[in-house]
Amino acid sequence: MKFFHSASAFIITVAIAVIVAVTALAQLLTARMVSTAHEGDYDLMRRALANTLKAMEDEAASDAEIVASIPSVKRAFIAHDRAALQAETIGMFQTIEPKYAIDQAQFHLPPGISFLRLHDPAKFGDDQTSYRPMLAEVHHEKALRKGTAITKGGPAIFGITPIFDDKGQLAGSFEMGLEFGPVLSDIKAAYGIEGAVFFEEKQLRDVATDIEPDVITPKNRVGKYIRYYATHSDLMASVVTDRDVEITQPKRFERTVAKVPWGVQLVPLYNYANKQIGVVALATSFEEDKTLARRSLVWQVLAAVFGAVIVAGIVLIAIRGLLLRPLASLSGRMTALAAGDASRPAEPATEYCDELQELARSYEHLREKQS
Amino acid sequence: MTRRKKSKARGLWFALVGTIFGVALLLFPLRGRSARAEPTSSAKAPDTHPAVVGKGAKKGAQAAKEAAAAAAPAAAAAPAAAPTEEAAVTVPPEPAPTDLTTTPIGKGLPVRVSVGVFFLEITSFDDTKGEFDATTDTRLGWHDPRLAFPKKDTLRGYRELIGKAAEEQLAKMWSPSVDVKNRMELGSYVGRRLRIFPDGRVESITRETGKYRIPVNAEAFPFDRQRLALDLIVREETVDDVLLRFEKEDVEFSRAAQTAKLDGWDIGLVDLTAGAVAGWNGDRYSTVNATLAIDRQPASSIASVFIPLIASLLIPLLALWMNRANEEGFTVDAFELANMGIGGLFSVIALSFAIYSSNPIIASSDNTVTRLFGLNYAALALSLTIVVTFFRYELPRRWFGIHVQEEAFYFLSWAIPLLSLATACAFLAVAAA
Repeated sequence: MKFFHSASAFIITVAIAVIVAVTALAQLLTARMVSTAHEGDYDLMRRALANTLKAMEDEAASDAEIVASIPSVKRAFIAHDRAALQAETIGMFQTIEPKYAIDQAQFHLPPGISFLRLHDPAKFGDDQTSYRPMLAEVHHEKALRKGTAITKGGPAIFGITPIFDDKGQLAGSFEMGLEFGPVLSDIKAAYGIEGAVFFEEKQLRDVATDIEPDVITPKNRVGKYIRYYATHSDLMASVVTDRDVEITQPKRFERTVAKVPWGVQLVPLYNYANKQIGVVALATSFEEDKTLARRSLVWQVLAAVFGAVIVAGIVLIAIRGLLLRPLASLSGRMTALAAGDASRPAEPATEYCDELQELARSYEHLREKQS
Repeated sequence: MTRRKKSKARGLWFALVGTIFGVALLLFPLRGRSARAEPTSSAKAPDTHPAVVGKGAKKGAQAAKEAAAAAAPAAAAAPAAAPTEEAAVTVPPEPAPTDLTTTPIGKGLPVRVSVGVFFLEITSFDDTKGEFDATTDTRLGWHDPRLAFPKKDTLRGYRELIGKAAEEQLAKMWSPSVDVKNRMELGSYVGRRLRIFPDGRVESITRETGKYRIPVNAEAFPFDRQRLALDLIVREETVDDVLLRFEKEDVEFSRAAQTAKLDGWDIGLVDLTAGAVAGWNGDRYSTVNATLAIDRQPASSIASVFIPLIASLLIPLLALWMNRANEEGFTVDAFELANMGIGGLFSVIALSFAIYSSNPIIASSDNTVTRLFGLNYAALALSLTIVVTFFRYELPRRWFGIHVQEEAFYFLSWAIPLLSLATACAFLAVAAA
């Protein structure tokens, strides 16, 4: 083993290994921090959806209760006077419908027969109990219920309140249905989260017979679902594909669209009977986090390179410049002296460190004696 | 007999003339008022559309409203001022026409105006000035129940007016005073289409070419992404009166044309965001920003910017590589190498002038180019320091001996190029990250 090369190499290798390990550890910590931040983002998406949905359900329920408690409305409904009921409520519905994203409003007779659809007064008399468990339960339990459902008019967030006559007997119910779009739009406005809601195509075809014809189209088809609403159609079409939506539990993944990484949270959507009717997809841009993480990696690697080079420089200059090369120089002179060549004087004392100066003086003493 | 008839006829003649004169006296002030009212009521209707986003159009809207407001009192004054005349001919007064230029409150306030923006063509984008030229279709939709009409009156399900007819119709009705905040110039041609649906829904589409100003962030140059934005704002009505928003149809409408291209850039997606800006006394005005993301194609700037920058980085390194250590010190004189460093300094200064003058946006921000220039200057400074301390005064030799100086020189001759190159690559990698 030649100390001149292997000692330096060994020290530099060890130093570089330590630097690489420290860099890797720092990068690991950074990655974990980013991952934790993304966990927070996914959690935020789920909570934002849950809270907004709950708020919309509460709003639908309160709207329904307000309308159902108006005495003139109640009287007309209990008297089964459809014309009077329509005259009493249709103006109100037409006024608030576009302003407050109200999609549907309907009076029912027990056990779930449509009495008056304010969004479509010409259609009434159909029994909805077969495909609307929440409605059936309101009449059965005589209590307010709220949740998501698919009706003839399409999917909406409903609040259904029972209406009782003066004797406390169940006369029927009134429901208010809010559009789904504003839920996602509100989330986007508040949190910058893009969203899309998908509903099962079969259920839409079977139940939602009155929805706009441009909803169930090949363009909106994603697996067995139809993309019913999206805050950013092009983006959500790229982010959520056929295979992604086939879920029964919340699922999350990352996908890059137009060079932007998106964190996607999928949440199954259930109706009141706990039957999955659709999927909500929420996507938030991870671009900033990812960019910062990648930049952090670059800077860390650069710092490691600087560290390794500086350590190598210190080792080379200190060990070789101060110790090994002067030692080699003295050794060469000593070899020559042993061979009888006393012509080469030692270098000036300033060329050597303190420890070698003694050796240089001894060499010079020997050389003077030999010469 | 004849004389009596003549005097009777003369009497009747005088009576007739006197009656006419008296009636004329009575009517004179009325005619005067009508004559004063006429020019106002017949004020030329502006031929620009208020809803369509532009200062000129906005002035037109204001003029239309003022004209309508001026006409209304005149129209109201006429029946009141001429009761005797109308009583004489027994014509019932006409009902005052509905003023359609006022805010439609039939659905309550605020009036919700849906907004969609389609980027038809991006003609140019000057990232140095932060300006782009684009042809866009801006779609506004609102509800005005006063414009409702029977469904049977139209075969297509809506009334459609195009061009001048649309402008004339818009001048007669309310439309949101939407302006594009960041527009600098508006092209001469403005195409308009107006659809009015039986239920009172109104849809206005405006195709216009304009120059827009946007902020440019060149931090990640040449891997940067810019956002070409149209900042739509309601100018006169607060959020309590008019609210801009977008719905599913507007989101789907808002995109770039598949044929849209921009040299040196990749076209991305359009995004809509709604908001509000503060006005006087706590007022807030509704806004919608439609932004088209574009990504720079970095290859185009490699030859013109980065090859000269990397090449200039080699100059200070040459000052190290040209010399060689020996037992007596160094083979090349410090003066010659210092000359090389000074020459390199001037070349970097010249290069920075060339690049910054052609890309002012780069000069005014922290980005890859400015960092690489910084690296160039740092490498030059380091190189000159080495020339002075090692080659001229041989300070390491004086302080630590010849062996240390030799080892330090060999180390620096590869370490400085390696670190310079690594730093340059890091700058590029950070921009690309």
